[in-house]
Amino acid sequence: MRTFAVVPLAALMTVPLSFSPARPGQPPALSDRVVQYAIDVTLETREKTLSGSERLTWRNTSSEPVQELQFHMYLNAFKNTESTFMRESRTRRSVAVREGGWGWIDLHSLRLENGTELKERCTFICPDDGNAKDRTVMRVPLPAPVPPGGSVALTLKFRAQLPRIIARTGYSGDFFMVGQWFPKVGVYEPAGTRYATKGEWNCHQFHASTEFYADFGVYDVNLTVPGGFIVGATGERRGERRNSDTTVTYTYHAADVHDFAWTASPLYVEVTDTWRQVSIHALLQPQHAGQARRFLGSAREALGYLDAWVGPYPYADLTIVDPAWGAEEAAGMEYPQLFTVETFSLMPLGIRFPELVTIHEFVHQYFQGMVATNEFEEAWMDEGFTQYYETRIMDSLYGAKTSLADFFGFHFGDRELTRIEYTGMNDPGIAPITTPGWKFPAGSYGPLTYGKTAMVLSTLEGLIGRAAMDTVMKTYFRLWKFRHPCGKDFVAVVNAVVPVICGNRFGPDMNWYFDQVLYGAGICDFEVTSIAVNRVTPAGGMLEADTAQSHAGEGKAGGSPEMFESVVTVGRRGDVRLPVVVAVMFDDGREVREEWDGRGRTAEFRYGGKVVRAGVDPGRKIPLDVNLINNVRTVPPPVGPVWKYAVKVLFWIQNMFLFAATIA
Amino acid sequence: MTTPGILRGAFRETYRNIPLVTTLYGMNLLFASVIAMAFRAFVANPGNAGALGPLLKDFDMTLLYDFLRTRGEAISALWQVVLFMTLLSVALNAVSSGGVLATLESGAPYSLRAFLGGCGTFAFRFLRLLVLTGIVTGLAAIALVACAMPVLWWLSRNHTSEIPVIEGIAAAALALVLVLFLAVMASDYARVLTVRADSRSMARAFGTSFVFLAKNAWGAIALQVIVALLTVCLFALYLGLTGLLEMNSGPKVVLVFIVQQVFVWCRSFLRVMLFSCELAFTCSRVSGSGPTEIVST
Repeated sequence: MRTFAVVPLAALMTVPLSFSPARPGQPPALSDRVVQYAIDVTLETREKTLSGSERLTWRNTSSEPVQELQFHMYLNAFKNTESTFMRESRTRRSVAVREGGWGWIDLHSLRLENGTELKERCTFICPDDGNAKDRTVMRVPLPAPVPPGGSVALTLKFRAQLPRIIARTGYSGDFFMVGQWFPKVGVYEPAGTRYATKGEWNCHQFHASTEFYADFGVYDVNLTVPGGFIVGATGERRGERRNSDTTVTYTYHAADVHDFAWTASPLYVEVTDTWRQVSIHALLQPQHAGQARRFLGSAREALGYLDAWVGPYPYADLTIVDPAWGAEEAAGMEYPQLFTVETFSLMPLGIRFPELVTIHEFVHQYFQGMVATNEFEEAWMDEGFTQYYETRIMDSLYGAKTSLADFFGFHFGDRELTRIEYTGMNDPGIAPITTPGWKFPAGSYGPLTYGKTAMVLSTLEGLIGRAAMDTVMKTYFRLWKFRHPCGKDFVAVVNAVVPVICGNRFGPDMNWYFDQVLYGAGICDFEVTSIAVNRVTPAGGMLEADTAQSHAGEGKAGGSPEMFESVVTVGRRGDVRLPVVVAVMFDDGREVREEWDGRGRTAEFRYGGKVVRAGVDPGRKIPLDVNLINNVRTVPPPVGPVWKYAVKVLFWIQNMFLFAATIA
Repeated sequence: MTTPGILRGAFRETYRNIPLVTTLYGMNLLFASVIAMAFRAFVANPGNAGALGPLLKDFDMTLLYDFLRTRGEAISALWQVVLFMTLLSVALNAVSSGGVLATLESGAPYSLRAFLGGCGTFAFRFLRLLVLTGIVTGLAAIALVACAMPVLWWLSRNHTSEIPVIEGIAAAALALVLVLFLAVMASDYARVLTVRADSRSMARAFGTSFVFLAKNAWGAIALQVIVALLTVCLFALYLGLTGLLEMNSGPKVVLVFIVQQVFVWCRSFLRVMLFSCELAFTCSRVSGSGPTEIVST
C-alpha cells in the first residue's frame, strides 16, 4: 500500500530543484532567472509621469526557437474607456477613473543590441477577448528567432503617464504607488509547462479581476525622484546618489523575483524592525505611525509561522507600504518583497484589520511571490492558498472566535468570515473555482477564489489532519518554489503525500475530492434528516426461549423499564460526497460515533435506546458545508437557546421603543 | 425653583405615581413581547433549534449567520412585524404622553380612568405634533447634511490624512445630535405647554416651546442632561450586572430577564420623571402660570 504511494512522491522529487549557477561572489540563484532587467526611470512628480529606459535580456528556456516576444503594457488598461479592464470594470469592479486621471504607457523605441529598431513591427494583440481597442499586450516579431537556450537583449525607451490611483497603481497627491509600470515580457511556456502542449506565449490582457504572471529574474533599477521623497521598492537598496538638479537616484537590486514595484512619498514615516536575517521596513502615513507595531508585529508573526509550517523566506528585505488617504485603491496589494496594507486612524485594537491585511499580503510572498502560479488562469492557487494561511495565522494568533473582531462582546474569527464570504453567495455553485479569473460570473470571483478555496483547503485539512496537511504544503512549497505550478501539480503533491501518511483511508488518491471541489461547482451540505424514537413493545405471551420473561410486555405498569428503538437518518443535500462523522447521543449520556461515506443520498443508523441528539460533522471539520444549522437535531428541541435570544430581543426591542418614545 | 429642587420634586411626584410608571412599562412590555414571541417562534423552528445549542454558551458567528441566511424569508416577515410594531409604539407613546402629563398636571393620585382620559384628550394633537416634529427635524437634518457634505468632500480632497475628515464627520454628527436634541426638547415642552394651556394649534405650541427654550435654555438643558446621565448610569449598572451573569443556563437566563425588566421599569420611571421635571420647570418659569384645568374636548 505504501509502496504504491511512495512511487509518485519519489517521481515528484525528481523535478529539478537546482537552477543556473550564480556569478562568482554572488549568492546562488534560487530561480531559473529567465529575465534580466536593468531599468533607469525618473519620476516627474508634477506631471505624474515616468521616463524610463529598460534593458531586457530574455532567455529561451524551451527546446524550440522562439520567433517573437510578447509584452505586458499594463498601464494602457487605464488609457480609455475601451480597454478590456475598463469595459469589465463597469460590471465587475466599483472603480472608475476620475476626471483627468487616465494612465498609459508609450513606447518610444525598442532596439536589439545591434541597433535594429523594432518599434514599427510592434502590434497590439487581444488573445483573451478579441477587444481590438485593448492595448495591454504587445507582440514583437523578431528579425531572427531566439534559439533554444539562447538569449535576446533589447533596449526599450518608454514614457508612462501614471493614472490617478486605480487598481493598485498610480498617484494621489504626492503619494505614488508604481506597479505594473514598465514594458514587461510575458511568459513563454515550453511544452509540458503547466497546461502547455506546445511552446507558446502566456501573456494575458489586463482584466478587471485578474492579477499577474511573469518569469523570475534579476532586476537592477535606478529610481530618480525629487529630493525629499522617501522611497521603498522591491529588493535591496544598493545605493543613493544626489544629483545636481536636487533629485536623488536610488539603486535597487532584486534577484529571483518576478516583478518590481516601488513607491515614493515625502510624507512617509519609516519604521524598521528585523526578523532573523530579514529587515522589515514599514513606510507609514504620519497619522498611522502609532500603529507601526501592529504592522511590524503581525509581519514578524507571519514570517515565523510560514517559516515553521511552509518554508523559509529567502530574501533579506521586506517593505510594508501604507498608502495615503485617498489612495485606498492601492491598498492590500502584493508585490515581491513589498506589499501595501490599509488602516485608519482610531482603529480599535479589537478590530484586527491592519493585522489581517499585513498577514494576507505577506502570505502572498509565498503563494505567487515564490510559488509563481498563473494568477490570470488559476487565481485560486494564490488568493485561495493565501486566504487559507491567513485564517490559520490569524486564528492561531488571536483565537478562532476572536481573530478578526473582539469588540464590546461582539466577536468573530477570520475563518468564520472567510467561510461566510463563500456560503453567503446567492449561488455558491455558480462556477468552479478553477475558472480563469476574467471568466467568473460577476461578483463571484472573490468569494470563490478566496473564500471557497480556503474552505476547500480547510476541509482537506479536516479530512487528512493538520499534520498531513502541513506535510502536503511543505512538500508543495519545496518542489514548486521559484517555478510555475498549476492545479494538477498541487493535486499531484496531495496524491503523493496523503497515501503515505493516511494509508488507503481515502483510496489510492484524492482525485475524487478535487474532481468535486476544484473542477466541479457542486455544493456540500449534510444534514440530520430525522430522529425517530419509538417505544418498543416487548414480546408478550408464553415465549419458549426464556420462560422467565414469558410475561414481558407489561411495560411500566409491570415495573420493568421502558425500552426504546431509535432511527437516525442523515442526508446529503448537496452534490459533494465526503466521508463524515455522525455523532449520536443517548439519554443516558452515552455517545456513539459513526462514519458515513456520504456517497448515498441518505443513510440510516438504528439503535436500541433513546437517542436525544444527533449531529453530522460534530467537530466542524468540513467548513465547505454551506449550512450548519441542519447538521444537528435534538429530541425534544432544546428551549434554552431559544429563550436566551428571545429574552435578548425582548430587552432590546423594549429599549428601542423607549428611545423612540423619548425622541417622539 | 432651582434645578435640584425641581429634580427632587419630580422624583417625589413620580414615586407617588408608581402605578403610572408601571402602566407605561406594561404597555412597553406588551408591544415588545409581540415581537419577541414572533422571534421565538421563528427561532424555535423544529430541526433548527438543536444546532443553535452552542449559541446558549457563547456568540457563534458561523451558526448565527447560517441561521439567518437559511431563514431569510422568515426574517423578512419578522422585520415587517418589527417595523409595524415600532411605528405603532411611537404613535402610542405620543398618545400616552397626554395621559402622563394630564395625570401629573392634575396632582391627583393615579387612576387608569384619568390616564386614559388624558390620552384621549390630547391624542390627535400629540399625533399632529409628532408629525410636525418629524418634519422639522427631517428638514433640519437635511439642511445640515447638505451643508456638511461639501465641507467633508473638500476636506477629503485637500488633505493627505483622514483625521480632518474624521473631525469633520464628528463635528457634523455632533451638530446633528444637537439639532435632534433641541427638536426633542421643543417637542416635549410643546406637549407640556399644550396640556397646561390647552392649545389647539400644534405649530404655535411648537413655536412657543422654541421661544421658551431660547429664554430658558440652560435650565432646560440641565434637566435633560441630568436625566440623560441618570439613564447612562442606569445602563452602566445594567451592563455591570449582566456582565457578571453569563446567560449559559436556564436559571441565569431567568435572572438576566428579571434584571432587564427592572432596568426597563427604571427607564420608564425616568421618562415620567422627566415629564414631571418639565412640568415643574415650565410652572416655575412661565410667569403667573399655575395649574391649568384640563378642558376635555
